[in-house]
Amino acid sequence: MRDRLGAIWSRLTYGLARKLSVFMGVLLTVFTATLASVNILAEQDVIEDRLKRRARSDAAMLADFASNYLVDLRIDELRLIVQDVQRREDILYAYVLDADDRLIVDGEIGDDNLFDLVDDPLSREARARGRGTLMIDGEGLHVAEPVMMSFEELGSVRLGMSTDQMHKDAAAVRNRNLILGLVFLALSLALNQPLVRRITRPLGQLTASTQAASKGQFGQRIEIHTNDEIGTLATAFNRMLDQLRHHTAQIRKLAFFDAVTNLPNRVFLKEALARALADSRRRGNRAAVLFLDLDRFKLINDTFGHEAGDRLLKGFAERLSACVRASDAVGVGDGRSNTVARLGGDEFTIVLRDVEAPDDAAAVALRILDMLRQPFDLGGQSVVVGTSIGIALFPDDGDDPDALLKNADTAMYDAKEKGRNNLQFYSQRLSVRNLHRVTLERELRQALERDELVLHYQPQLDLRTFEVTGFEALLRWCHPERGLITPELFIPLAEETRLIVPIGVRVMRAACLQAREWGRAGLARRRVSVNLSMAQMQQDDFVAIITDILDETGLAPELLELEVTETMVMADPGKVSAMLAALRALGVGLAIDDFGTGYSSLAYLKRFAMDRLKIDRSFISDIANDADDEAIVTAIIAMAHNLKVEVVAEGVETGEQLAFLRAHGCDLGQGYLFSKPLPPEAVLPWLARQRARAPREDLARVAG
Amino acid sequence: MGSSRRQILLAGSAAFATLGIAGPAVSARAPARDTLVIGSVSRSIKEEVETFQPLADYMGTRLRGAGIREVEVAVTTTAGEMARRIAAGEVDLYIDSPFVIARINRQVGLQPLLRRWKKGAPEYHSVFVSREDSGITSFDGLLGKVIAFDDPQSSSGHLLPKAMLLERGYHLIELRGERDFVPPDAIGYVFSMDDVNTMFWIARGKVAAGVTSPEFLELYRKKGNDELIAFARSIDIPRHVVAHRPDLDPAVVREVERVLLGMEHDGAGRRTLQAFQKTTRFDRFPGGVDATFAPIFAMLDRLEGRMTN
Repeated sequence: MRDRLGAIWSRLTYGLARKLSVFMGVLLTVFTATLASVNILAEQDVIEDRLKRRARSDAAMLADFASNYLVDLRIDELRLIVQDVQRREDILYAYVLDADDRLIVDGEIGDDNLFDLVDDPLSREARARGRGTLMIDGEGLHVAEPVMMSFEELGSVRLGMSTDQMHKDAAAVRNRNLILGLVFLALSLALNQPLVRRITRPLGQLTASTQAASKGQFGQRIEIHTNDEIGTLATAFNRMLDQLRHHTAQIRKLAFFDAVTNLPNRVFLKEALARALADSRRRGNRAAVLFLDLDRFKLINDTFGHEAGDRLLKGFAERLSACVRASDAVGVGDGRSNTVARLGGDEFTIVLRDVEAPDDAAAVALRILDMLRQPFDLGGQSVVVGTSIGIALFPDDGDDPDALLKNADTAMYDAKEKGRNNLQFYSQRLSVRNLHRVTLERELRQALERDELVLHYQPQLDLRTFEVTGFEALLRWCHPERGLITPELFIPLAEETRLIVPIGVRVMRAACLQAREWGRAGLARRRVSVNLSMAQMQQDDFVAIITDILDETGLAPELLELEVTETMVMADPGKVSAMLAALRALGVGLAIDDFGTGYSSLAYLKRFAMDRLKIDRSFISDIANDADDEAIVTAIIAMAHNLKVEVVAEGVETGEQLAFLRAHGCDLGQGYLFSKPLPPEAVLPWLARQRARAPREDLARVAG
Repeated sequence: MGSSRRQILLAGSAAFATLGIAGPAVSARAPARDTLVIGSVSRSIKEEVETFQPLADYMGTRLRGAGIREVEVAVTTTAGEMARRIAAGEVDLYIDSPFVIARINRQVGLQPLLRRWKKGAPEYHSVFVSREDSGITSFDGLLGKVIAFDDPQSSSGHLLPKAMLLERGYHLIELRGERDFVPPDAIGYVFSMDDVNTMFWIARGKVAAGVTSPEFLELYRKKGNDELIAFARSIDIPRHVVAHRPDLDPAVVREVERVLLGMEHDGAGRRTLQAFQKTTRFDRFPGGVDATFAPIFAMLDRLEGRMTN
């Protein structure tokens, strides 16, 4: 009940105008009631007072007559007067008492009560006070007036007056006041509502504007120009709306746009993509999602610093936007309705609306690839970057934003795997492969547990003497079902999942043990080379780990060679430099792997005091056909020798290559020409065979 | 008083109904033969008519046998005027105290017919009252003093006691002012006009004695005022008398007598009697008219100076 009353009250007083109305209503009612009551009481007082005065005056007059007749003892004449008085309508009774309180004149006809001794306190009081005395009770108004002649007390006059008329008059006054009060109240209440509305209308406008603002509509302004508090409030509110509009725009920008490129971010993209898909669905059109990843952006970031990286991202974003704007030229909708967004890092996404055929999306992607032929200026450095582009089409490759983005991402990976700087459409096959990738990760973890990862060793030979100087330890995965899996298939995955760290430790220990074994088997002074990954280098205790393994295995440090890529060195030159220095102090040998594919210069690498430089196989493979490669290899060998660094050629597969390398003084070589990587148990037999076949002569002939 | 000497004839409600007149009919003409008129003397004409009307109505319905179709009430303000109208044959019946009846008899031959009982009594007398401590125990005690009579017209309050004093041979002097001298061999008198006045005048010593009814004296004494006593009383005379003009048709007289005597025997009659100033009944004079009126005529003669002995 109380709750219901509360609810009714709440509904009744919802809103300032209603509250004010109710308040004013209550106030007016109380005011009117009070005024009416006061008026009624005052008028009733006047009426009563009038009656009292009349009663006093009548009694006094009668007493005046009575005094004359009583002195003269003309009772009969006094009786006539009293009876006349009694006949008046408002008189209840009239009688006269003598000084002994005997009834001597009664207004009533009849002698029955005559001479009665009347016990009348009112008369006694009147005589005692010497003046009229009055009393009102339920029957009427009673007045006693002493009858005096000079100072002689002759008796008293008693009058009873009806108060009926007084009550009637009072009731009339009450009714009149009530009616007037009600009329006044009704008029006041009728006027109250419009008046309150008039006062609170600006507040209503304010409220409406506030509600609109709370829904994000900051565009409107409040047009109130009153010179009161509400006007001031409206001005302040308008100012606040301006600020809100400004701040909201800023917040929106921060929330939906990328600060580096000013492109929409992932959040914005999701919404834009959803809108684009809804639009395309309605119109029965295709849409395309292009997923772009800058090739080797990390390398650029690491090499030239983040500032240069940001500049590249910015430039790239501008070119993408330009390409998309121009995309209507290749038949993809209205360029302005397409969206270019940066998802984060070096990942970008383009949503193309109104794609008629897959070729339209491909045309945009090709335009982008084409545009990237022009180098970016990164503050003095000119850099050419490629991008891998994955394309997913709506509705062919998915009909919701998440699916399309995932599939475009998968296609992008495909492009990367297909040699980067190209475009790939999504296909079901990719999805399967993606699934395969997940399986592979699980299996890799199992492989680590089950010891399925094994090392194969590829011999390195002195190209002058064809003596075996050492072995490069190469990781292989002996999959129980799929057989041997090459590192290209699982190392990137291991790096991505950081499984490379435990794998690295295991490899290191196994290689050291193996080299130690070889020493015991009489193969003195054969080095073992182990490739390091970036993740390993980032371990603060990496030097300690190496020290421990060397101690544990008892391998002489100079028989261990660690291979790092120039990219790894350039990633954090200071830290890597210190670490390499510490490793060298242990006596461990250092080699730069895959030299020529990165952006380092030999002069710079010199600072790291490496022992050997391994020329990337891509330079070696084309030596016989490519003059450029020959020139590069020749230059590298010459420069390295100048710096007193040995040169190792990787991927030596033909006699021509061997001959070229020998002719240009390359120190060491490794490759299928000499031997494929060998399982540990095959190393000693292979060495025995080599010695038996007098390989030096063979090789000299091949190279010859 | 003289200015109000006028003749007013008021028709009863039965007549109003017959004639279709909405108000009182005032006429100077002699009534028709089939109309009986009852007369009365009073200063309050309206009240008097209202007092007599029930009786007139009652009689009107019962006198058809005598050829009377209606009974009217005629009120005059003086007995003289009434006498004149009786003489003129305009008033047939008249009801008043015995002295007034006797006087009009003397003037125009009005004939007493029946006695009217009032307040349960057929007769009344007056008492002479003095303060007990005044020592007045007989009329001689009044010599050289003043006695208060009631109203000059009052039978019991004036005529009857005055006639008694005169009959006893006392010399009475009416005093016009308070300072008037009363010789030691005479009795002075004043009119108090009211029984209460009389009582107070005696009690306060304004007069030595007064006359009132025994009932009023009893009322006064009963309320604890026993300083006043009655020291003499008058003879008994009828309270009221019904009389008729001398030339009224005897058959009508008989019918009137019959109707009035029979009133106490039927319900309507009793109600009418009660309404007619609490009249108990009408009856014949037990000693006959002459015996009853002989002392009254004697006193009247004495009062009017017609000495009979």
